[in-house]
Order: sequence, then C-alpha cells, then structure tokens
Amino acid sequence: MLFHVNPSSGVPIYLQIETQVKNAIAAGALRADQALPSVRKLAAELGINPTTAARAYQNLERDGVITTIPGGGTYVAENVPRFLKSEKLRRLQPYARQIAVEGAQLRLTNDEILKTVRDELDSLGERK
Amino acid sequence: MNELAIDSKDLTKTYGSIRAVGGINLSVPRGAIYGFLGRNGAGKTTTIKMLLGLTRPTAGTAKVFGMDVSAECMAILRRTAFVSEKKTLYPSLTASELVRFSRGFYPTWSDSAVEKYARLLEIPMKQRFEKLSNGNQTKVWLLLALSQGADLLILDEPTTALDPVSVDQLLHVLAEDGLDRGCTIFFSSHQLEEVERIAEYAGVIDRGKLLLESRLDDIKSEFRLITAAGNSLPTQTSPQVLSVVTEGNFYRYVVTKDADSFASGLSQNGATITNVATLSLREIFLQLVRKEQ
Amino acid sequence: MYFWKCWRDTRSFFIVFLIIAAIVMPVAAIVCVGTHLVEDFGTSAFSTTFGLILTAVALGLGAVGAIHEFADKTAHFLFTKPRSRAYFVWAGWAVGLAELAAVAAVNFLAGWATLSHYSKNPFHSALHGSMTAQNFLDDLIFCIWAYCLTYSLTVLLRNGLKGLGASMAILFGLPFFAAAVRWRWHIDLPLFPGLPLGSLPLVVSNIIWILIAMFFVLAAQLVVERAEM
Repeated sequence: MLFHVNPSSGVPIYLQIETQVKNAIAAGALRADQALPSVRKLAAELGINPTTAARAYQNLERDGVITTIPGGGTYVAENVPRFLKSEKLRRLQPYARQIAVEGAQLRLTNDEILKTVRDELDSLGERK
Repeated sequence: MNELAIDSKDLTKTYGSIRAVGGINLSVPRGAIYGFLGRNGAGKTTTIKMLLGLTRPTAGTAKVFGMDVSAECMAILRRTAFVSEKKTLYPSLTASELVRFSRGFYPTWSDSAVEKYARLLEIPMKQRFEKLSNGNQTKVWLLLALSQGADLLILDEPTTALDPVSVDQLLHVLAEDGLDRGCTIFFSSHQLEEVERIAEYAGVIDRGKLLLESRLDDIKSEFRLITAAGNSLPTQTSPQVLSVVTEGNFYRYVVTKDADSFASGLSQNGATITNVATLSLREIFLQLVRKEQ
Repeated sequence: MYFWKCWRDTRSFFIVFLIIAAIVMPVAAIVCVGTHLVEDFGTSAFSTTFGLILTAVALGLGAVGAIHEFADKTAHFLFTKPRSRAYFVWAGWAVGLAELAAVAAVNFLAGWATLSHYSKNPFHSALHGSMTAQNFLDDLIFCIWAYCLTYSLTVLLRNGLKGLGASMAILFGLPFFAAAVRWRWHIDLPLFPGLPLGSLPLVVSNIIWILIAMFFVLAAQLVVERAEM
C-alpha cells in the first residue's frame, strides 16, 4: 500500500491518510473488500505515531469507507457510504469552489471548465 | 485515578533575578507522546530538571503520576527514565557495564529490551564510553532509558547528536514502544519535523512561558494563514489573530482559531479572501515565538 | 551495583598500594639487614611505614573515591536513579573505608610477619616488645579521620585535586596554626587523633575524633542533598 504523508504539511497526518485512502478507492486502486494494512504496520511503514494511524482508520470507519473485523483485519467497505444527497453535495462544494475560482482566474469559459471536469470523470470511469 | 502523567501548576524557577521558567502549566496525558518545543535557553531543560528533582522549584507545584515532585521524588524516579541534555556518563565504563550498573536500580529492567535496542540502534557495547562518538553516546543513554521498563520517558533533546538514519530508527522505536507498553513519552526538541511525526501533543515554551499546549492535530486544524485583499481591513492582533502583515491592499493574517468565521467577517466588510492556507508546525512555532518579541 | 562502580573507580589505586603495603616491610628488612642498619630497623620502621602508607592511602582514596559524580558531570545520571543522595555519599565512603582497612591489615600482617621472622635474630629481640597496639590504633584513627576529611572536601569542592590539596593544607598547616595560637594566646588546640583532647582519657578522645570524622561526611551529605544540578 503506497501511502505517503508529509508531517510538516499544515494538514494533520490522519487527514492526509484519510484523503489518500478515499482517493485510492475513487481511482479504483483499492477495491471493495480489499485488505488494508493494520494500524501498527501502517504506522511503521510511514514512520508515524500509531495513534495517528488509528485515528485515520477510526474516522474512515465512522464514515463507512472501511470496516474492521475484530481480530480479523481492516477492509475497504462494500458499499459507498450511505450519505444523504445533501450531505454529499455539501462535501463536494469546497472542491467545486476551488475549480470555479481557479477557472475564473485563468479566464476560461464555463464550458471549458465543465469539460475539464467531465473529462476527469470519464477517465475515472474507464479505470474502474 | 489521575489521568495526567505530568501536571504542573504555575511551576516557576528563578535564578537570582533571572526567571528561567515562569508559571508553567503543563498537562501531559498518560500514554501520550508529547513534544516539548522551544529554542535553546527557552526553559525546557530547567522545567525537566524540576520534574526529576535535580532542581527545586522556586514556586508552583508539579506532579508526576499524581505524586508531588518535591515530596515523592524517589517514587517518581522509580517509574521514570531520563535522557539528559548533556550526554555524559562515566568515561571508563563500556555500554555493557553501564547496563550492568543501571540494571540493579530497577526491578522493571528488561534484558531482552537491551538486546533488542542495542541491535536496532547499532550500539557498540564493548567500547569505553569516552571513546564513543556523540551520536553513540546519545544512543547509550537511550538504550538505558528504553530498557528500564519505565512508565514515563523524559528525553531532553534526544536527537540532537544523531544522524538522520538514527533519528528515523529512534522515532520508530519510540512510536512502537509507546504503543506496546503504553508508556508516556515526554521529549523536548527544537527539531520540529521530528516532533510532527510522532507527537500527539505539543507544548511550545519560549522565555520560560508556555505559549501554547494542545493536540498537534488540533493546532494544525485550527491555525490558518488567511490572505485577503481589500481596503482598511482590521490590523489589530488579539488572542485569535496572532499576526497581521500588510502590503498595499494585501493583508495576511495568522489566525489561531475559528478561521472560517474570521474570514466571513472580512468578506462581509468587503474584503476578498484570496487564500486560506494551513501552516506547518515550523511556521506556527516561528509565528508564536516572534509574537512574544 | 553502585558499590561495584566505586570499586572500579578506586581499584587501580587500591591494588598498587596493597602491593606496596605487602612488600615494603620485607624489602626494607632485607635491605637493612644487608647494609647492617639493623639497630634502626624494627618497630620504628614498622610504625613509620604503616603511618606513611596509610596516610597516603587515606588521602588518595578520599580524593579518588569521591570525585567522579561532580568532576565527571554525571550527577544528572546518578541523582536521577531511585536512591537517595545520602546513599551515594555514604556508599562511596564505605568502599574507600573498606579498602583503607584492607591496606592497613595487609601492611600490619606483613610487618608482623617480617618482624617475627627477624625476632629469632638476637638483634631484634629488644625492640620487638616495645611495639604497642596503641600506636597502631592511633595511626589508624588518624588515617580514618584524614580519609573522611579528604572525602568530604572532595565532595564539597567537586574536584579531586582541590579536595586533596585542601586536606593536605589542613593537615600540614594545622600544627603551625596551633603553634602560633599557643605562642600568642597560650591555648593548646587539639590537633589530630592520637593526641589526647585536653585532659580526657585517650580512648574518649579517640572516640570524639571518630565522631568528628563522621561529621565531615555528614556535612558532605547535607550539602549534596541540597545541591542543585
């Protein structure tokens, strides 16, 4: 599992791990029911405090992204988290804002911006 | 049952007219890894010496595992392992002999730990201490501390003399040891990157005062660098706004908490927020320390 | 384990003097007999060598046994061990005292054996009987006193050479000081163990000297306990 964290980043380490796991799942690099390294192993690989790794896993489990079987290990969850549509859209909003701001600064048209986003979605679909 | 491994209240140390440590309130939870950050001469070592009974506090109290440092020093020392800032030991003894010397003091001593760490940290066990390099001398101190079976490890600048590979090895060992044995690790450093890797809690000390103490994750989540463009924006510092830098119509704020509402406030006054960024521990530390000057 | 370390610190010094203590009398005897100085050989040689060796050992052990904690800057290692500082002061003292006693015993036995051998010789028979236990006891008490003084001064001054120097200054300077006091104010100051205090019987005087010696070490203990590292 090739995760990488930057302890000096302003983003807390546990959050970096969560983001990477989610990204990996979204990109198809991690599939449903696939096993994840244990907290201790992950911490050892990344050279971080195991409590931090544990926190990331706890949050991911709370969000329904992964599941832990007591004594059996950690796995990517089968189903996409059952969030309300409104919650999902709310989560996406900051990223959308960034795209909008960036695109506006570059003086791209709305169509050009939306096309770029669509292309990304298409390439994701292909990898799955 | 006390939840804090180290708990101090207004801990103060004065040398004549110099206030080395002034009113420190430390709270180190049991089982945590706590990074005690400060520049050279900020008061880290003086604070540590007071916890271990090497120096008497001028005022205030400190408790280790609920035991007062002035009254129950021996009981505390039985459960605490220490690595000093000055890494000197008996010059003519070898690491093996130092192990033999230390072992007798602690019923919780672990010989298997000695073997394990001597191998992991690659320590020459048969050379006289005075002949060892600075890095190896530090490692001997660490070996003795890690093998003690202590509930609390107090490490004063444990990585200063170590090369990057050894630092890496040590941080791994500390993180694992903390998890395995549930011991509390309190280490002082001015190497912020190391602290960021394994510490859960951080306390920043400067000129004898504790400027900040919090979970590291929270510090990173709360502190924000907000850049805004506008006219006549506020330039007051406050507990929330650590610093303001202006250049033309640009304002850069370091905000310690509630960054979102602060940014909204600026927007409502007609400002455009151009960037909201997170800060590394190094940047936060520098901002905190500079503010005091 | 701390006793072992104190032994390690003083080991070389101790062994060297143990050997000297063992051979000085036999060697001196052989030399004297060979050069026909036999009239001067006997108890005076014995008690002189006994006194000299033991004084040297007392001063040396006092300095060597006490220096390491402060001179080597290992106080922050030792005093964070779960033992009282008093323990460390007295343990170091005890090791030195035991070594002093060992050297005294070896020297005494070697001297005794030497003289016993030579007492078969008619040259020594007259001298042999005038050796008293009191002489040796006085010497021993003096040396214990000097040892305690040196040990304490080394602990207080945190330096072996300074402790040794201060101790020697006192030992050699005290007679002159006492002489000056006697001349000026006509008061007889008590000097060393072995000399009676005022009109007290010798036994009581010696006990008092021993108590004073203990007090030196106690003072060192109290200072160390209050010291800040």
